Amino acid sequence: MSKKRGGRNLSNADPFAAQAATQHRGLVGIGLISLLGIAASLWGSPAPAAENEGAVRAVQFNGFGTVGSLASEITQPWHFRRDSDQPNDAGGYANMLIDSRIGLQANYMPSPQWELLGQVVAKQREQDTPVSDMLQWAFVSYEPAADLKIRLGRTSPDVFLLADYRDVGFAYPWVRPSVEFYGWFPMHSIDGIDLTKIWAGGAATWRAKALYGYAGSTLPSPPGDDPIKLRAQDFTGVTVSRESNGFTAKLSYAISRVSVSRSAQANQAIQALSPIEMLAPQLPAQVVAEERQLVQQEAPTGAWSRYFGLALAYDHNPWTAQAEASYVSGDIFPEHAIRSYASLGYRIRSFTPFVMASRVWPRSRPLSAPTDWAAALTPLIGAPDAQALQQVGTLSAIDINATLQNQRSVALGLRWDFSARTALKLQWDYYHVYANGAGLWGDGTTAAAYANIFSATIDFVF
Amino acid sequence: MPSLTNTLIAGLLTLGSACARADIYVIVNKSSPVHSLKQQEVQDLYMGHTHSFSNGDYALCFDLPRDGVAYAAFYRTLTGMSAAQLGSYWARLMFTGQTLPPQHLPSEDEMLAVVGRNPSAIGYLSRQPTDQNVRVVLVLKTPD
Repeated sequence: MSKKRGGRNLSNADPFAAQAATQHRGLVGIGLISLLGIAASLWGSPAPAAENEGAVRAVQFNGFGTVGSLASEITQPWHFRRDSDQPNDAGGYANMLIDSRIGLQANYMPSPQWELLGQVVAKQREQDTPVSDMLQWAFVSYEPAADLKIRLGRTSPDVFLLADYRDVGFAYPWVRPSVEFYGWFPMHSIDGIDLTKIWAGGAATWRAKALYGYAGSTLPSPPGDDPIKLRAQDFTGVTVSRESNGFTAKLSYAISRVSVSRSAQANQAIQALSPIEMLAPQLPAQVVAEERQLVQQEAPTGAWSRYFGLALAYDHNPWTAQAEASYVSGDIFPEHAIRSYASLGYRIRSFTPFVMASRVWPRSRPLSAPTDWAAALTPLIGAPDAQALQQVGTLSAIDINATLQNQRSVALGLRWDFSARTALKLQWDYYHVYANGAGLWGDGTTAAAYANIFSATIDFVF
Repeated sequence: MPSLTNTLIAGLLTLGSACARADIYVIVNKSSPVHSLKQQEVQDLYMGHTHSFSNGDYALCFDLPRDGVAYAAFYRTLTGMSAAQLGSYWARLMFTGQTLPPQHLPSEDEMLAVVGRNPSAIGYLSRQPTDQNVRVVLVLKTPD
């Protein structure tokens, strides 16, 4: 996402902020009331009878984690990041903070139909990220029938195959999910409701899910500026998946109104460009159009984004293969792209060597620097001011272009399950970043680059 | 003499196959209406695809210790997966809040006792139970 712009002034930049906040509080309120209701009903309920032994599960704690380090070799002074919500320079000591993380989960099943679940994840995030963002899941789930499930609270934006377990390294073969496919996706959880229906069709299990909610995320900004707040309101999605004999296919579609808060830097640029807006009737249409595009991209507000996803996975010993493709459309420049990856692994006892190839193609064209602004503006405001405006327009376009994502990569690695609950992973990634395509990198510019990333992690569950 | 050799060889073969073939007995409580299960049904229950028997009754799955021989044989026969693969599989289901893995019991004796007391329970053993409180609903032939 647009890491160059920082965030503030939500009230005036974001007409949906107040409404979203109300909606958000409403859903959290419903969740809390449900939790209290269940707690109250349990308080008075008798101890489970002997024949129900095991049906009521005491609170169960489980966790997962990753400890890892990486070495990077990049032909530009950029920083490697795994997710767009990590700081521009996310590495920390020995680059350990990029992949290291820990999660803790508590499950409580007061009855076979009801479940309460909470999960917190500690990992490297942008400095000013609210502590509450550590809360990954907090929901109450109810199964009115064996094939139907309703969840209310903080749940998952389940639009892509790994959308809800990107942090659980033990659950996938690679050191990290494809950065091209998942690195940009800033939503880790949504506050809302989802409904899952399961049915059997021959040898296959079908699963359909509908979800609705609100997602927020904190993204990094240049030093001294406030972090960017991204809001995805009315996040509405449908996914259908089919599973049989180790073969999984998943199709998803979601829409959301996405807005990005204005940073002080973006505000300055917009203010500096405002004379063009005032002089619009006297200026060539192209100059005004260019200016409006820059202003719109400096802080997109409430634009509808659409997410299409298709995933295929095959897991049948000794092979494990997975591929996904997505198309995201909308007014937000860096989001608008086609993304895909394919991966193949082969199990030899406890070793799984794998290869993965990824690509992100931007569907937004880089903005060209305004060429004839000075000529058009000089008669109206004089040469020095016209030159200055030209300069502001050029810098703004460069800034926006640096957020585009255009790169490909190949990865080669090995996962070694040296115990049933611990795995060692080694991976080499080679990245080719095209000009105007460094949006996934910390402090990325409009230049092209090549990079080698060597990673080693230990993933575990407990 | 040849007949003695043949007898010896036949005896050794029988003994050999008896040692290699560790059948797994899937059991339910004697009061359960379930009298037999297909391998696919047991797989659906133990892999968290469903929480109920085909008649709609809630099923409560119990598991043996993860480091035991019976556990490995049960899942290898049922799914072809190793303990590490199962760990990875359940990490995905559990930490995405979909479903919890079956509850582990410390021993086969405990399995027999718990299933014998609980009408909704389903479990498995590496030996044929003689206990009157449980019923065998499927025998899994483990590969040699």
